[in-house]
Amino acid sequence: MNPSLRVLYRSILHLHPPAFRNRFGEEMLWIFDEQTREGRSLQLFFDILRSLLVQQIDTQLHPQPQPSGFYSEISSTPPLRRIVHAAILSILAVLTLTHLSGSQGPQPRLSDSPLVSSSRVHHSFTYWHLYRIEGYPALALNITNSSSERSLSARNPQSGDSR
Amino acid sequence: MKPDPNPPLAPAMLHILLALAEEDLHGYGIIQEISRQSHGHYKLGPGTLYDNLKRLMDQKLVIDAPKSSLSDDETRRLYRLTAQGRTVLSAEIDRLHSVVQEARLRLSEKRPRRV
Repeated sequence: MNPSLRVLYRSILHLHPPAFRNRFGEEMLWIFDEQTREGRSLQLFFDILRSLLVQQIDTQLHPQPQPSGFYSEISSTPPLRRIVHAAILSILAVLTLTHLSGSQGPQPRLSDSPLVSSSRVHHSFTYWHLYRIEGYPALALNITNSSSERSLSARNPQSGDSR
Repeated sequence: MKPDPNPPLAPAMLHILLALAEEDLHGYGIIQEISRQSHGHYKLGPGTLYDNLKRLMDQKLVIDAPKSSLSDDETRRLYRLTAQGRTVLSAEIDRLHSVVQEARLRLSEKRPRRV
């Protein structure tokens, strides 16, 4: 028996409504094991996909009745499915934000253009972090001006004196 | 118009009830019995089996059989036909019987058309 087929079958089984899965899941897996030996894998997958559709529609049409009374017990067990979904969504959100911030951030590289002088390239390498503050023009302008002045005065002290 | 108390059963349901008519069986046993009864023409998958078994259990036509110490495989759940299930099965067999009778009558009465 192909173990990957069993994993796939179990995954599809996991998409069934919990009440159905808890009641019949193990038996379905057992019958799957028995019938795959007869070479009926493809039919079994059609069968379980059809069953998945039927059960999902049935759950939507006939939801489980809630117990009525003065009070009802609330399950305190952590909903594992929701936790897994939340974890996956969090990871995706972090990856997306990282990707977006990485693509919008500075990407210092040597330019082939003859118009770009070597000192400007060096400036973009050294003060790349200042290019990130383009959302606040006034602040960015002040910081870049002061930084540029400092760097220029550090390189060429005479230019600073002339002011 | 009153609703039919015993509406026609789906083929899978009929076969499951028929398989359980003789003895209590587990899921795989039901599949094997159906295959045997239909001479291998009708093979049920586990999805179809348990979809229909769940419906039959919701209608109280089939129940979980209590585990017996004589059973070889005690880990498997056995299913049992209830008295109500037997009544429904009998009604369905009667209905099918009348359909077969009517069909035979019509086929025997069939005459060639006049042109």
